[in-house]
Amino acid sequence: MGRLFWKFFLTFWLTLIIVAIVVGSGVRLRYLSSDNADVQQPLLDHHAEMFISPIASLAQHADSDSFKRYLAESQSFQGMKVYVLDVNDHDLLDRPLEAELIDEVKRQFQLYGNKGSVRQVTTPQNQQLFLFAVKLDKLLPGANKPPMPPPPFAGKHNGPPPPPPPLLLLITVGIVASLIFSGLLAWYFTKPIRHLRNAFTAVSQGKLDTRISGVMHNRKDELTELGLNFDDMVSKLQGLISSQQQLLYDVSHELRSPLARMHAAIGVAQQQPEKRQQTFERLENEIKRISDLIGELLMLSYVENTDNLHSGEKINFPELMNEIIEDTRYEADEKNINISFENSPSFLIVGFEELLRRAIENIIRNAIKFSPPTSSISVVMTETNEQLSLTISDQGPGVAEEYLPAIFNPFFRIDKQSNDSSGLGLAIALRAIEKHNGAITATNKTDGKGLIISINLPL
Amino acid sequence: MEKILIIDDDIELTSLFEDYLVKEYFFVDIAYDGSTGLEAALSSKYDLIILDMMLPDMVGTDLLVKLRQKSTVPVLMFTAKGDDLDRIIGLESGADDYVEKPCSPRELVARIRAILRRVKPQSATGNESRQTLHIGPLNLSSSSRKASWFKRDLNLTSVEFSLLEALAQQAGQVVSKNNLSEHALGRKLVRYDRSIDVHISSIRRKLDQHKDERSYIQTVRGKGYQLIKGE
Repeated sequence: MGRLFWKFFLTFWLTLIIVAIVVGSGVRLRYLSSDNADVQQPLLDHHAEMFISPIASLAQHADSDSFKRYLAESQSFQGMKVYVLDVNDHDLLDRPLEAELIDEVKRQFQLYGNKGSVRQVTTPQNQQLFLFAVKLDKLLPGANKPPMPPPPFAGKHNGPPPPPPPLLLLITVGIVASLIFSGLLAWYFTKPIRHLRNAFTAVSQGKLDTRISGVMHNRKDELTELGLNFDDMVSKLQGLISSQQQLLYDVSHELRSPLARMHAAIGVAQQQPEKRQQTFERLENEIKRISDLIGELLMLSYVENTDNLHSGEKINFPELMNEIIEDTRYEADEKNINISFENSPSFLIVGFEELLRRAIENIIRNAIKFSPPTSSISVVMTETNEQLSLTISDQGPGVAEEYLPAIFNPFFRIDKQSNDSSGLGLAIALRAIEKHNGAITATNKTDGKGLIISINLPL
Repeated sequence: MEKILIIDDDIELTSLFEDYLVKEYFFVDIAYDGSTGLEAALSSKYDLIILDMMLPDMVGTDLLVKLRQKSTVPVLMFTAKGDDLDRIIGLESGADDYVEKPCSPRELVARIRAILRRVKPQSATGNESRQTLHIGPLNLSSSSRKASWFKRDLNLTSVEFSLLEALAQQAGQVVSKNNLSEHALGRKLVRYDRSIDVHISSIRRKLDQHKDERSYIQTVRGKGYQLIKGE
């Protein structure tokens, strides 16, 4: 049970106790003062109602003389007597009445209207009359209190109220019930939080396959959403970490090959000193390979760590393309490869110049590498309002369909024996283009003679 | 002149090894992929195979399993340094020993020699009792390097035979793993080296269980292994 549980628990419990004290003392005060006749009772006083209703309807329909006669002759009923007031608050039979009683009756009329022992009626002569019944026993001589009208709502039995249950029992039951209730409520609220906490602990201990939507699925609230978000986050982390681990594994294997060759070359030089010069050249080559590989790895990590586009700069794209084509032309000339490119008037795009340069350069260099001598590479740039598309197509052997999606993976090589590339060029290109929210795809030419790489960048 | 087949896809590396081994008076052939390598290895022309675990067309262990179905030729595998799992899987698939890559050619030659020395049928220098050993149902012939179990021929690799031979020569006694390693592999055990354990468990699989379900080769924890004497 964590601290949060106790906080929830105490809050709920204190609230319940305070509410119980407030309500309980209110009820008890009313209970204690229920000796006074004006305490509302839940049930309608049927006797008063039955007594006054016929008189009220008579007042509405009979003429005033016969009504007065009836009123004078009418007997008291179960100790109740009816008074009838005109608009000036005079009793029709001129019986004396205390102003206090009249005020009380009027107050009850305002509160409850034509109910219980009070009625307001209009006679056929259009006279407003006010009827009410009072208990005769209250008028007994010697009674201190003025006659009071029976309440509009009164208990069925007029006996003394039952004694209240003992206070101690009430308090004990209340405390136990509120303890159980607050405990359950706090447990219900903190359960998903406990699940979350356990999951966080598991993840921080490296168990990245932890998922919690399974244990929280029967709830449907914000905490469940939090659990789903957590699962989402962990699976993304898991993917990220496993791709990093794969990269690390690949890198160590990539580094091992040149090292193994260096080790072997040194052994040969020791055995055959006349081959020393050859060995030095070999070692130099291998060192260059390792250092290239490390350079490319740093580039890859630079691409991945470059901030999002907000900090990008404005780049004159056609100018950048010109520079790239010029740079690669040197290598292309060595194989007598012609690069065709038609530039368009300058326009600006927002991005990272170095990343875009690397991406496009890597793709063109790749095309040069796989092109047969004396062939051509065509670079086509089309620009619409929303996007820029660039296709680079060569006349090389293309890539078998099943390998097409894999060519952007780090260290993927179709020819496993080729050692003259780091194996990271297209992986860097992919990440650089993705950094610009663009897409890069590879397809074979329909006639199977060459590979087309297309880049789409949003403008 | 011993004939060695190297199965590895790294052209430059293999040519360097070839260069070195030829000078050490070995005959060297090279196969750059698994399928041609397996075919050549099965031709039983070679005294020893050096096998890289990462081949372009198949995993080294798969090749090894296929090779072991038909041949007991000694196999030395190249493993990546630090990849213990790879090494154990390789030994379990029937490799005799391993060399970590990168390694110096001198180390490679030492390993090759150590294995070839064990494999060679021993010349008739020892007395007759050293030539054949009878331990219960087990028969070992040191001259022909053949073993039989309840008169059934055991298909042991050379290292497995050497291990069983070392245990049989001291049957009933505990033989330390280090002694076993020196006898069978011609080298001392290194840290985290599970080679002997892997080879022993492979021998156990080839021998039947004892009547009371014990293995004939007992593990003595922290000390070594012991072949049960008698019956």
